[in-house]
Amino acid sequence: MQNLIATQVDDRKQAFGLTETQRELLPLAFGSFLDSVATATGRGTFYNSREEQAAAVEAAHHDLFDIDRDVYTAALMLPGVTDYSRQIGVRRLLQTTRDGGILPAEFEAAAMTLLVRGLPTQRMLKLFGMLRRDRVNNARTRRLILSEILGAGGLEFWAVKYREKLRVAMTHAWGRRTASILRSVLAKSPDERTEKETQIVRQNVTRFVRDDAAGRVEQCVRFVLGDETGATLGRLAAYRDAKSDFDRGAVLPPETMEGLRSRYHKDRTSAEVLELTKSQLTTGQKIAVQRKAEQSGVEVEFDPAKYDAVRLYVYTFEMGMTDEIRLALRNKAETAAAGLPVQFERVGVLIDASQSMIGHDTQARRPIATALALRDLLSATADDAVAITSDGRAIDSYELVEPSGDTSLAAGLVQLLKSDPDVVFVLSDGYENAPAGRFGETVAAVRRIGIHTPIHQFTPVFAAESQGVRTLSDSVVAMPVSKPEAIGLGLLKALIESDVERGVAALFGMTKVAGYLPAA
Amino acid sequence: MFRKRKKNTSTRIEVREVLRGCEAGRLQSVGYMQVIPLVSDLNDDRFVSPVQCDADVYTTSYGTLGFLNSSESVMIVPCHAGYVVKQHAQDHAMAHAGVVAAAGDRRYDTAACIQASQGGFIKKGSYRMLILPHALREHALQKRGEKNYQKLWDDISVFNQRLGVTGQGHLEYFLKAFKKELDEFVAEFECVPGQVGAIVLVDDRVVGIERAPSHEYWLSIWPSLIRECYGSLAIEAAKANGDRAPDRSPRVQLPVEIASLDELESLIAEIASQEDERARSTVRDLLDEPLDLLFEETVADVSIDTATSEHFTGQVIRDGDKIVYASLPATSAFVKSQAWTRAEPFAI
Repeated sequence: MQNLIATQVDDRKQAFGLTETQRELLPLAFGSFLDSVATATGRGTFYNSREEQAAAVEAAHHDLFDIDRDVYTAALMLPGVTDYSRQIGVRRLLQTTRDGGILPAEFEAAAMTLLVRGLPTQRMLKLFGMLRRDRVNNARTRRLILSEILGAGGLEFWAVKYREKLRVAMTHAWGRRTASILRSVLAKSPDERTEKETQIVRQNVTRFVRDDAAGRVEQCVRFVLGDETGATLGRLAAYRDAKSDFDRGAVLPPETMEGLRSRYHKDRTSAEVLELTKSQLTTGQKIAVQRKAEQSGVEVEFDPAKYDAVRLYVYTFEMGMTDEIRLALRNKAETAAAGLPVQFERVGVLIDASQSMIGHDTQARRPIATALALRDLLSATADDAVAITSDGRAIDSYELVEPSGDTSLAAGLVQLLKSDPDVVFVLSDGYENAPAGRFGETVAAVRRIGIHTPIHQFTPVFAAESQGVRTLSDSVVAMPVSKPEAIGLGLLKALIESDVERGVAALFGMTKVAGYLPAA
Repeated sequence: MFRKRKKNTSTRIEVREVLRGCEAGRLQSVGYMQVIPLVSDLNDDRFVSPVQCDADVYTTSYGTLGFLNSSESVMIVPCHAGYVVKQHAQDHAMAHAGVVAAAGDRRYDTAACIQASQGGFIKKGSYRMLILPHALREHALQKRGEKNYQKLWDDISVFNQRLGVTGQGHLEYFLKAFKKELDEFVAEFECVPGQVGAIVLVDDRVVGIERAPSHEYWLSIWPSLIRECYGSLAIEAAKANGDRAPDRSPRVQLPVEIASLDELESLIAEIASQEDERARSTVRDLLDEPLDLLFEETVADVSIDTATSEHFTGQVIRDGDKIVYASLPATSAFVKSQAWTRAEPFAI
């Protein structure tokens, strides 16, 4: 397994000044944390409710944070960490005062900015909403919110699409009184403002933006705060005008225009909105609206190459496989496989296709979609690959597998081993019931026979009740993975378990914060 | 054709009638619990559960539990369905099964409070359904005609005490104390395609037969059955074994000496085949058991009967002669007395 992943770490040990206690506690806490952040999404799973998931995730975050906040911060930056985990990580960092840590304070500030910028817009705004809900409103928080919103290149688009969320976030940062004052002051042209008013605007708005963008940002802020008069920016004016003139909404995001339609143009249909605004669909929306577009008779083109493999599989379960999607999946798998430092001659992949791999209603089929994307990647690392499902069916790459029934993986494992692979990957949520324990028993029997083919388990589901991922066998390490490109997390977990100092060095190496590392 | 019957009229059938049209699926086994799925092509979609139709549940007085069925299908309220709510309201459970006509609203004044010393009524709304723990179901059924909301308090107290839970008459204390274990039961067992029922075994003993009208109905009630009803019994089994964690290894184990993958493969297949036969045999052993049905009422053209036999006591719901729903937990006497009757263990 360790050969699978390239890290940027050399063999020299870095001096991180970890205490004995930290060294002792880190492996367990880090393992549990990785299991959580790589798979937890803040939604329920087939097995656990949303609340159970949230409680278990909080516990995993708390444990690692308590050991060292810089290790915690760096871990949040690892590739493959879910957006949800990053959201709650940033909230935790902001709501606690920095006291200690093994890296300089600048590291945390830089890391936090990177983490927030890496979030999709709606998740960034959700994070700001979480900060408001939890009453986190210190100087760092205010600066982060305002700089990320006001300094954003797409603020005009955000203003019409996320108007209320922006208003809430900015009002949280400014305070209601300042927000109210700003609304009044921004209604005046810069020439009409008093010195004090100019200072208020500079202090709260323009210091976060480039000089050449000040006018545009001021207009957006006015709009977000509820003042639409005098808006000249294209989308802001279109929003105002579309209330009376439906066709003016062509430059608005579809959901914004849909909101205006339902209020001001009840005689128009949702299909007309989709037709009018289809050029404004985001990449994510283009795939999400395919079903609706098909039903409405509107053609919305999307390019499969722009989506990750898991998303494509989720889509394909709903809409069906096409040659174009199959080609995109192939390209993605082969590109990702080429990035791995090893090639196998022969790989065996065993896919748990039981009922539970459907996942929770709120993220239906995500576990099986992740497993299928992993199958493609792992198969692409080999000259020859054999993939079978838990019920013994041989399946080709880029083929759908519909989950159903109970979980019995032992026979499949033996079947694969008989094809003499270099390595076997088991893609499963770790719940075995027909019967429980047979897989582990079979692995033990295989070893007694004298077959030592490496067997690895990848798990796309966080199990709240076990505070991590479920293992099928004591002698097979289960590694969390939410998307194929995140399989490096498994290595890191194993590395920290075997050598804490090297593992921490690898962690900082993988998160590209080398500039903050102490000298080797 | 269904004939009108009078209350307390009795009929005798056999368990095979309950299982008509079903086949035993592959046995699932985790720790103390085993489940034999009952699979059928017969699917009666005319009936829905409160979970399926998102029924509004409420209480109007202590001991009166109401169900508002806004669907266009007849709603079968599973035998001993209960509701533990996060409100200042007394948790309640049914003492029997119920049937609510399509678009109907029905109140049962024979319900039981399962949370002593808590006032307040449950507001109309959709809540998570549970099925009473196995140990309470026989008591509840015996008292199904009593209009006394306190009727289960003593039984709950004894049940809690047996499991080391303090809290007289408060079922929620048990649920809280064993939340993790109960959640795991839901996690461990999966419904299989076409499943409409199950024979449940705990610690090698048959502890219940469950049958639903359709696969969708089954999917909707299974988490409640496996969690609170039968899961509680597995917890009792663990307690009886000195709180020993259940052995997670398979009940029929592979031999230590295996020479090759071919041999291993055939052993796994052979054990699986024996386990399948064991499941079928377990079902077969139950088929001839006489079941006395005591007619309770007819609603929306289906009848509710209380079923008793040497080993089981529960209720069945019939459309004419066809059983569309059955919930037959084993009697406590049977659970205690059972010597495991399954096929001989696998031997090399």
